[in-house]
Formats: sequence, structure tokens, C-alpha cells
Amino acid sequence: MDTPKVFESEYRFCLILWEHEPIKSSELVKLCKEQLGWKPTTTYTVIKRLSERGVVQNDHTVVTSLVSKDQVQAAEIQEMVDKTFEGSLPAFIAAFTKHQKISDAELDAVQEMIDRYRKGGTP
Amino acid sequence: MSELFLAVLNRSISAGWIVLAVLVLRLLLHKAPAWSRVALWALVAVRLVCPFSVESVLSLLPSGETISTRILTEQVPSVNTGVPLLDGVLNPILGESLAPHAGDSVNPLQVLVPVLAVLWLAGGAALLAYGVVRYAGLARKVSTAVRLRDSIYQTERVNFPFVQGFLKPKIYVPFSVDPQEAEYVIAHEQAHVRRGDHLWKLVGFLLLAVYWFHPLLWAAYGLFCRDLEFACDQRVVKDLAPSQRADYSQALLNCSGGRHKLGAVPLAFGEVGVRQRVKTILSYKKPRVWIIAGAAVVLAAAAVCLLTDPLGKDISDLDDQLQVFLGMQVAEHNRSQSREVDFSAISYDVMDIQESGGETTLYAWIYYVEYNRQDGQLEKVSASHVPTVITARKEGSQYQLVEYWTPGDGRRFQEDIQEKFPRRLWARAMDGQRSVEKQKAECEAMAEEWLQEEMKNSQWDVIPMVMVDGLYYYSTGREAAPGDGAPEGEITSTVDGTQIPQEDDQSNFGEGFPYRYGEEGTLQVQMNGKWMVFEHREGTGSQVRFGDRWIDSYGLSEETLEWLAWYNSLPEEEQLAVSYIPPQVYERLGLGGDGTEDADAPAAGD
Repeated sequence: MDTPKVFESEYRFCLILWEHEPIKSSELVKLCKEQLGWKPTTTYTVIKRLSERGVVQNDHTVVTSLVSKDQVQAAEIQEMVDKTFEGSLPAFIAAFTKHQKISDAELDAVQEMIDRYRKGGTP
Repeated sequence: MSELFLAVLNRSISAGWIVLAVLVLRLLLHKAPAWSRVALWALVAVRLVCPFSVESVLSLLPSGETISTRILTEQVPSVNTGVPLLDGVLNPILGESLAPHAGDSVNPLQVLVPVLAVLWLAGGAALLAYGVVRYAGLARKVSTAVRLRDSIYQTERVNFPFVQGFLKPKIYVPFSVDPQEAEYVIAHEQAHVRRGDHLWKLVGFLLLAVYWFHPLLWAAYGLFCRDLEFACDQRVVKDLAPSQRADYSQALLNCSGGRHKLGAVPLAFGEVGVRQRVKTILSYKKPRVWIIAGAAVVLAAAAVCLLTDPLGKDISDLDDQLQVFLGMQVAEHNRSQSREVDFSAISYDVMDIQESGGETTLYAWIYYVEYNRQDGQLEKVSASHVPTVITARKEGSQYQLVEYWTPGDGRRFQEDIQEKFPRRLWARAMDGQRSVEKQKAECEAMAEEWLQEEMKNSQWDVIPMVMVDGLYYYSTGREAAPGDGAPEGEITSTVDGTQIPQEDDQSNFGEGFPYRYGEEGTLQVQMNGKWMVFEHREGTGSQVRFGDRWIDSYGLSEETLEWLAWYNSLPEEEQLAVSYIPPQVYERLGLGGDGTEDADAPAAGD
């Protein structure tokens, strides 16, 4: 059977589930709040999404996993990047850097600057 | 709504000038720490946010109000940018394209401006909506972010680190960033939070939503964001060792789509140049004291010069001819018809002067007061204090009155003012208390000054007199019986009141007066319908004052003349107390033992 995809944040959720299952969803919500910093609504949403994907099951508020830790680790943990969000950050969000189309030439030039600096030269 | 839009438009134009100035100043502050450049942008924001501004002579702005709110009702719309060259280019174009043509039922601007106002609202709302949607979308995306520590979260849903949230900001870092780099990223974002950048950027965005139509402001916002990043870098790097700086730069490079380049992405709005940032980071040195001091000076000077408006209008802003013309109009509209008035004074508290389409309009509280002269004092006869609007147009070399407007009484006062005055002047136009004392004092001072001059000059004014047939005749102040005598001649010329007539039929008080001979040695001159008696006396005509009378000065001795000079320098009360009068003076007064006393002789302690 094909192991369903699990994203990194969902993986962290599963770690908690594997440790405490079977567990009442309300308990799970509390644990997720403590360890992950998730709002209750977020936890419920994730439970729903994962059960749709066949990763977990929610039987009358008792949550259990359907795949094991080994199985998930074997499949690659994907990184999902939503294409529509790339680069176009809302203007008033403070960001480390705007994701930009940096050309290879530019890349090399800056890398050289850094390397030179490390060796003790001027940037 | 149109008025609000015009106000916003005006403010954006002022801000535009400031942005231009800031663009120049940024070059000056190139070597200074980045926060000083951010502070410059703060100046722009202040100008955009503050509803009022202080006037100062140091203002570098060309104009406090480029687009007059009257523009909607003007015959020929025009703007006042404060830059004559610009005005010269813009106004003809505006006049041609936007002036109402004969036969139009309405001024095109009255249609155009409301439409523009609606477009402005729509644009702003759209930009705000875009921001809200994006923000909400991002929030939804990172809802499953996992807390790393404190307020720092990691997520796989985005590939750039950022701060979100305004009251309790949270830092989000992609999972894909390795732990060591993540620390630098976090340090940078924490610097953002400490500086309050997430809030400043929001303010900037809101301002952009209001002033979105001005292209310079978009440039300003972009550069502002850029300067923010540099300031943040500097704050982080300040505490880093050189090798750490290299690591920080590497993190920056990697996050910009280097190692983590997940497909080419379009340039975001306001992108921050990586190369420039790395260069700045690696070459950062703690700024020297004098650079910081210099930056502070530049900022302070910029604040004063750019945040203040040019000085408000004053009556002296108008050319002399117009000032005189306006004065005449005021006098004419306020003059009491019933009597002659010795002196009147006008004081203007100018609220605004608008010039457009060849017409000048003055909005001012006008204080008008009339005085009569009594016993060497000025008595106030009447005074008025009225908010007034006067419009004048120059035709050829003369000014013509277009309108002289004052509000009605009682309830009409407020209604009329609100109809006539631009909204921003309403409060001032309805508050007479504000300036009345100052204006009263101004007029009183003018009156005093006039009186002093008069007193001084009247020492030099000679008694009214005429020359006829080579003989001098002096005014006695007495009126003759009308009689039937026909005029025998006419005063045909006049000299100044301080001079002696030199020619026949000449007076020193005016011309056009008929005269006839009266009883022995007298001449009667018809003035104001009355025949006034003028008496002949020998002499050269020159006279000297004695109190408030005149006596001929020929033949007076040196001592007498000296005594007279002394007497005339005394104030009235002291003059009355003088007990000795030289005999020569007595003679001239007509006082003597024969009892032919002149009724007007001053009581001299007899």
C-alpha cells in the first residue's frame, strides 16, 4: 500500500499521536497546544485532513493512527510550497528577504564576496 | 466627499515635494546608519497623517495648498503650486481643457472631481482588500506551524522567513532552513519586532491605500521597506563577530533563492537587493559620533523645513495698488453716511488670499473704525468687525470690484458663512473673538500715529488765506450774512495747506470757490454754500501759531518769537495756565484796552 503523504507539521502531530494513542481528541488538542502551539481549531482541522488521507482515524472522538512511524519515515516528507504565494508577500509583512529571482551570476558574485571576507579580505 | 478628496490631493502633493527632498537627503545620509534614513521616511508619514501643520518661515514647501477648494466654482480653474514655472505650464492647460464653455450648464470640474473622488475611494478600498486577503491567506497557511520556542514557529507551507501579527507578533521560519542559519534569520526577525517594524510597515501600507494615486509615494514605500531591512541587518550585525557576519550573509544568500531556490519566482514588490545587503553587512563598522551627530542635524533640519507650511497670507502679500483699492472698498461699504469723519482705520485679519483666473479674493475679518477729533483727542465714533470676502479683478491698469460680501444677521450669519467660505476656514470665519482685540489695538495705534502727525503738521499748517489783487485775506471763521452780492471772482488755484499763496486768486485750501468783496477790508468766500469772511491784514503772509490760533509773524521781535516757540511746545493744560503774554501777541490777537476782544482768545489768566 502506498504510504500517504505526510507533511512536516503533520509529522510532528503524528509523533504526539504515536506516543499517546489511543487518545481522546480533546486530550490531543491539549497536547498539541502545549507542544506545538496549535489552536484547537487547527488540531481538529488536521485530524480531519489526515483522516481523509487515511493517516489517522477518528472513531467517536477517539483518535488512532493508521500508519506507523517507520512507514512514514520511509516515505519522503514532502515540502509543500504553494506556488501562488511565492515571493508576493503582503506588503506590510516584515520578512527576512523577499524571495527573488536571483541570477546565477549574482549568486556567484555574492558568494565570492562572502568567501573573500572569510579569508580576511575586504568584501 | 469632493472636499475630502481635494484635501487628500493637496496633502499628497505636499508629501510629494517632501519625498523628492528625502530622495536627495538619503544620498547625504548614505554613510550614516540606516535608521536615519528610515527616520526621513517617518517625516513623510507625519506630513501625510497630520491634519494640521505649523507655519514657519523656514518651510521649503512651495505651497501650503496647491489646489484651492474654490476650484469647483471658478470660472477658470487654476492651481497654485508655489512654483511659478509649474504654474505657468499647468494653468493654461487647465484653463483650456477644464474651463466651462458658454452654453455649458455646469463647470466640468464639478463633474470631474466627484468622479475622481469615487475612483480614489475605489482604488484605496481595492488595495486594502488585497492586503486583507493576502494577510488572511498567509495566516491560514501557517496555522499548522509548529512552535520552536517562545513566539518562533516553523512551517513547511512557505519558503521565506517572516513576522506576522501586530499585537503579538510571531516569527515564522521554513523547516527547510538549517538550524544554524535559522538562528541568524530569527535574530533578524527579532530585530524587526523590537524595532516595531511590523507596525510601521502596516502604517505605511495604510497610508499607501489612502494616497495610492501618487507614484512618488509608491517609490517612497519601496525605499522605506528597503531601508528597514538595512537597519535591521545593522542592528543584528552590530553584535556579531566577523565570522558570524559571514555566516549571517550566507544565510541571507541561501534564503534568497540560492540553495533553496525552489523554482524561479517573480520579483516581489519592493525587493531588497541581496548584494547590497551583504556588502553592507560585511563592511559594517560602528558609526562614529560625528556621523551620528551629523545625521541628527540633517534630520532636525529636514523636519523643520519639510514639515512646516509656508507662512500664511497677509494683506501685505498683495500689491500696493490692490491694497489701496481694497481699503477704498472697505471704507465705502462701512462709512457712516450721516457725518463727516476725521479719521478712519482698517485692520485685516487675513484668513486666506486666493488668486485664480485673474481675480483675487480676500477672506478676512475686517475691523473698521471711525474717529472724530475733539480737543486734540480722538473719539471713536463707530466700529465694525465683520468677516468679509472681497473679490477684485484687474482690468487693464485698474482694479474693479467683482464682489463685496458680508454675512447676514442672526441665524443667517452661520448659514451664509458656511455657504461662502471653504470648509477649512469655517471655524475661523465664525470666531470673531480670536482677532478682535489685536485688530482693535492695531487701529488704535494707527489712529494715535495719525493724530501725532496731525498735531505735528498742524504746527506747520497756516491759517486759511487767499490772495486777491496782491492783498492777503485771512480766514476769521465768521460767516457773513447771505446778502445779495453776486460773486466778483473765483479762487482759481491753490497751494498746499502749509504754504502761503503767491498769486492772485490763489488760496491754500482749495480752488473753485467764488468770492466777493464785503465790508471794509473784507473778502467773502463762498464755501459749502456759506459766505465766510476773510479779513485783510498787512504783512508778508507768514504766520506763527499761538496755541490753536494763528497770528501774523511780520514785525514780531526775536523774544516774542522765542516765547511763542516755547508756548507752543506746552501741552494744552499748561498753556491755559500761562499768565504772561507778550504785548505784541496781545496786539495781534486784537486784545487791548479798547475791549475789542476776539471771542476765541484763549483765557490767559486774566
